[in-house]
Amino acid sequence: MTQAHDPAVDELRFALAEADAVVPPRHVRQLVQTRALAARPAGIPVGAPEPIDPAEAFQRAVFSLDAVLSSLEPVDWRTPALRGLDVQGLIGHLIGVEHGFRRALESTDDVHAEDDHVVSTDPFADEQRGRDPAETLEAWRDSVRRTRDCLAGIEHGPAAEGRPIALYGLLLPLATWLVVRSFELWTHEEDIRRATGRPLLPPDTASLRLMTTLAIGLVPAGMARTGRTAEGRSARIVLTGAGGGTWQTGLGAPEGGRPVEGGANVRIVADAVDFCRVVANRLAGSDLDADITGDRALAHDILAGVATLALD
Amino acid sequence: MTVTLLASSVEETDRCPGVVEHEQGTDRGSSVPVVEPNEAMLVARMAAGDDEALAEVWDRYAPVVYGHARRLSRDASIAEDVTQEVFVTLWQHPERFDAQRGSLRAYLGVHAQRRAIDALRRDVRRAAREERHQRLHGSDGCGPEAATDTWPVADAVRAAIARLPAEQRQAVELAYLSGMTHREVAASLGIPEGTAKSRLRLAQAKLQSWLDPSLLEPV
Repeated sequence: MTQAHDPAVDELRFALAEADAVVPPRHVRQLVQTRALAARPAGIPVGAPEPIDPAEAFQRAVFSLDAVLSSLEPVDWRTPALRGLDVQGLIGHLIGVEHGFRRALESTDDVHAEDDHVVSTDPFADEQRGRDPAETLEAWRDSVRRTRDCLAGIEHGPAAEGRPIALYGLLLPLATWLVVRSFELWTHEEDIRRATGRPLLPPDTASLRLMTTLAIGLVPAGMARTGRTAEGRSARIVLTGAGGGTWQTGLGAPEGGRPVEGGANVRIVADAVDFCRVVANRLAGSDLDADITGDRALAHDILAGVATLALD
Repeated sequence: MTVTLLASSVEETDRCPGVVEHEQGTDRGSSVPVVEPNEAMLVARMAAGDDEALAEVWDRYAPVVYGHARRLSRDASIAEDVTQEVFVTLWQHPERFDAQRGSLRAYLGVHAQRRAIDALRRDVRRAAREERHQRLHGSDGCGPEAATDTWPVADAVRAAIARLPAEQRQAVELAYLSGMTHREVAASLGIPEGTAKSRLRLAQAKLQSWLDPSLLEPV
């Protein structure tokens, strides 16, 4: 269908057509539902990308960050970016994260499972001070390369991807960790873009879809971190734009994080990328341009909860 | 994820015309009246796979679409088909709606009208083919008249065609009503293709002056 060419006339004509309005037979509505959802199931966005492997999402996030880092001028590396770190220090932090991630992948014990995400990487950030930015960039690339080698050494398949990895106080399957890592790299890429005056860019659609799906699944965990419980309650979260989708999810035990049917207590409609920025704690939930229907206090709790998922 | 289309599953407070109270009464929040969600938002929700948005759009606009299609076609089954097509297509391609260019009601109405006219054209051609078949092979007593007589548009088209000179009428019947190409019309009448085109142009000009031209576009 394409849009009409004479909007003013059409508006008038179909305002008048209200006089002819007749409720269609009930079965027509059922037929529309059946045909529409057969063409595109509920929850799936228009133009949904072909799903990608979480490892591919991680790879794409690495390439994207590398492209930005390659474009930086020497002065950009000294620009304050996050938590008192300049861009160079932030890349040092990421080198530290790669180090911690590899250690978690390779270890059979969970001795570092409770390492603090920031504190444990401070030495790596400090190490970059005074270095040539080109050396920092090369060190980061080398660190990522070693992570990829480590991942390649892990047997592929569902069993490997389902293997729980304990790190930074989280116990997640490897596949989920790879999405978390993609999320993290994109977030820090945005930190650097923001600091150096570069335009913010969303992740590619397929990666974003993985990120939004992950974030929705972790909503109950985020709420639990803030001490807000929502037993027996549910939310319908509609994330618009490429990489979004629609989820109706339980918020408390026993259905937490799983799809539920029936009436949701609240509906939140927001842009998918902005929602991810809330999850990354880069955008306050109160600043999210969201259309909320239902229990607004519950919506507030949800947005406050997801912000705690950020590793920073 | 839910697959419930037929009713919005989010609990809402009572609605006043044009306004939705988005707030649920809770002990922690305050009620904030918000204008009814705009159509761009509704369509964005559909694009995100929110089938409840489709249900909302259906509730608001299906009566206008169906009523308009029924008035145009004067046929309930055509109106049902048109209504289905309009809403299923909107669900499949919500990105084609541009709220900057007009309302969703007008957008859906325009497409309902196009589809209803297409359906009428198809039926007029079918009726004419059947009529021609009966002329050539004799009536079986259950011809198309019963169906087409209920359509003033079909009657008007047939009456207009009957007013054309014989050679133009033959060309029109073959091209517009039997769906032949110019070449096939020429071959059928034993005339050069250019002559067939010329007769059709002359006939079309006359018909356009007598009838709504939107009904007369060739196949």
